[in-house]
Amino acid sequence: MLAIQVSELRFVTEEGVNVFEGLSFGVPREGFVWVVGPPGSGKTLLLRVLLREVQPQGGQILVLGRNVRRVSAKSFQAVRRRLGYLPEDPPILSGRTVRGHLLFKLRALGLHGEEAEDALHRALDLAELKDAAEKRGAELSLLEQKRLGLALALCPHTSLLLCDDPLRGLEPKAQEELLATLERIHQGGVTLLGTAREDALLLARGFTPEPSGKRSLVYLREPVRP
Amino acid sequence: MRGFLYVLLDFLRANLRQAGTLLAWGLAIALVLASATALFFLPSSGEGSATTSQHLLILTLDPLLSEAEINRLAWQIAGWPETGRVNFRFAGETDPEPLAERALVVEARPGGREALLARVAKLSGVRKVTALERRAEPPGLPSRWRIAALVALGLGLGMALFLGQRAMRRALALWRKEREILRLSGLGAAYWQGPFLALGLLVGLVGAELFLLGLRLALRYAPPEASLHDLVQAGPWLKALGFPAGAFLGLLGSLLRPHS
Repeated sequence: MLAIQVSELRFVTEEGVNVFEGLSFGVPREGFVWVVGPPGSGKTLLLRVLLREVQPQGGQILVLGRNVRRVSAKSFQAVRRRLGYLPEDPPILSGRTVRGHLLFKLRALGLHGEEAEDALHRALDLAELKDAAEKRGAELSLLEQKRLGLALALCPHTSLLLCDDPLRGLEPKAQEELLATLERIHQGGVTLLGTAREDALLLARGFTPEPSGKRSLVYLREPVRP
Repeated sequence: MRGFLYVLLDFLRANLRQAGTLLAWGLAIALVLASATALFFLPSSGEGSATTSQHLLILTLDPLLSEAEINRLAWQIAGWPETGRVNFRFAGETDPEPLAERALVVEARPGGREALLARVAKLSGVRKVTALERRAEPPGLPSRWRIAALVALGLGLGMALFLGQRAMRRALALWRKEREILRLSGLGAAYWQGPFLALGLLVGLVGAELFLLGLRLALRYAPPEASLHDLVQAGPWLKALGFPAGAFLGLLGSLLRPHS
């Protein structure tokens, strides 16, 4: 069973840059997959296509069983609520505490009381951010900011997590720590698709370039410019 | 709905930091409403502009006069210095009043009415002379107050749009990251765009209330003879129209925010 299936994806920018030409890969439900490519190879674009923020010119994309290109915006809302997204620079509010960030999202989603508290504690636990719950956004280190972005993406009930270059900008030790956190989140039953510029650290942690494997790497080629 | 209300309150709380700009925007909307009301209620004619009088003599002609004789008579009258204009009328015509017989209508020059009356009385072929005075209204020139109201309306509209755009730009900056969190959470556009419209609506309603408050104060302290008291009767209408008009202006301003 695949959480994400991309077949023959084709995307050409308005300037005529051929970013994806027949890209195909799959992410199993229990999978943890990394998309690796140089800057400008379309890693963020791929995630935006999966989130239905950008429409490609060709190909088929299935996310949690729904055809992203055919489903209506309204129908996709239900899928979108189960999708967590960690952007490269997560939005951090300097004046709010970590707890305040999460409560903001949960209350906006209409969750209050015990339900919101449970979701909040689960997200803090998964993102390993319990000790920093009362810290304000301005006081967070870069690693903690990434963890807060993760916690935001994970609450209240995320079954598929998309991470845009989460290791970028971190010290090697912090990269190892964040990667370990992502592994824990994956072991907790969340399907993960991340993007990265380099594969050395990922290969060292047992990810293989095996198509549709549970712990695999997908490589993007350089875009073809006109 | 509960989630949206929470988001809306959070947005409004963040915008307390630009309360001054929002109040100025509301005042500009109140100015637009006040000046538009003034334009609607102030009289359109100019102050102290006197009406002019037109002195006409209707000469009822002898039925036996031939066309050539009537023509000759008309030219004779037209040649007098007291005469302004001479026109022939058939029986049945209604200008300047319904006529039963053929007549010449003679307009006297200003101050020449009496002399003209004396001269036409001596003419042969004229059976009866009727004097008529017709008052002419001068062309409606706007009064000073109407011009002031028009200027205030233009100024108020310009200010309302400028301040609305400025307030929305600032609101976007104040709440940019919260908006991004909502967007990334997969919430619909209503959640991260709706609060901006709601803020515009709220400012518009505050502007309308300020306008009505100003109107009440003006009615209480204005001198008794002031034409402002004519507005008292229109009070319920102004209340009924003020709020939707203010809300519309507020919404218009909120749509001017930069897109992102």
